[in-house]
Amino acid sequence: MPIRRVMITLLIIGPLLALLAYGFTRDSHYIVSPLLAKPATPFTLALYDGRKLSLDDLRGKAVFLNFWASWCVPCRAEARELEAAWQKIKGTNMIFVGVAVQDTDQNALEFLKEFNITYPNGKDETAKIAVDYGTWGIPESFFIDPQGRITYKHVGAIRAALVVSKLEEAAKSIVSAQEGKGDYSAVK
Amino acid sequence: MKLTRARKVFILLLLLGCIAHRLHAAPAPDLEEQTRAISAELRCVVCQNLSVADSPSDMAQQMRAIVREQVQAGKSPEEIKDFFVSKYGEWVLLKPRTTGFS
Repeated sequence: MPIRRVMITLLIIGPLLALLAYGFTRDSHYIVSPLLAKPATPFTLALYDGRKLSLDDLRGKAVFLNFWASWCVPCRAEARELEAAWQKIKGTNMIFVGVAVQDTDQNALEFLKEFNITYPNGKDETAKIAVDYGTWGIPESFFIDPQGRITYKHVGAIRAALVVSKLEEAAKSIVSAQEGKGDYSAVK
Repeated sequence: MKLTRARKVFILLLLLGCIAHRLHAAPAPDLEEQTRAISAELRCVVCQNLSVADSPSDMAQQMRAIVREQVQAGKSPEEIKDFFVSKYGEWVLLKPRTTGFS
């Protein structure tokens, strides 16, 4: 009889403990985006070189859209990877766009110079673009197909190889089943 | 039809009454009040246990500015909340909507 009681107790407590253990493995801060496979919200970005860039002007190209800040450690970690990926796909039907959030012009420009970033970058002064893309942790990267649909989202630092492969998928309008994750900093 | 003097006076008084009512009608709810009320229902994406109204984070401040702008544009509270849900999911509502078995 005592053994039966022990077994029944374990059968009840066991799954609860398993659920608790699973909970500890999850990132409680993580917000799953509802934007995968949805149309990318149009925006116009004031670039640091004085030009304005509109997402609508990039229709027909696969777009890599990256939100970053100079104070964000994982952004610094991925910066060289992104430039390397850009050098690889430059001149094709793909384009990179960087958006600085919660940053000063001086710090942002120093960051771009430090990592020798050559693709277009601009500032999202009011965080409207960041909110339009549901940004909560940086760096955040979005891959947009030539028809303007988001095919993949990656929260956190991303490697060059994954950027290129996901851009190639975006160019073919292949939507990923789920978003990806790396090291990130929460926005301020 | 020729109006009698009494009818003219009546119509004039009616018109004056309408004008007076319009001038003294209840004022539109204060913009900041509306902004605060809607922001209080949204979760801050930085300080996730605080509302956008209460959170001191820069992002909450920026979200409040977006709420204010949308209120000024004439959007309803539901439309504004729907906007944030479309970007962050139902999670962004401090009080999730009841659907299905919830």
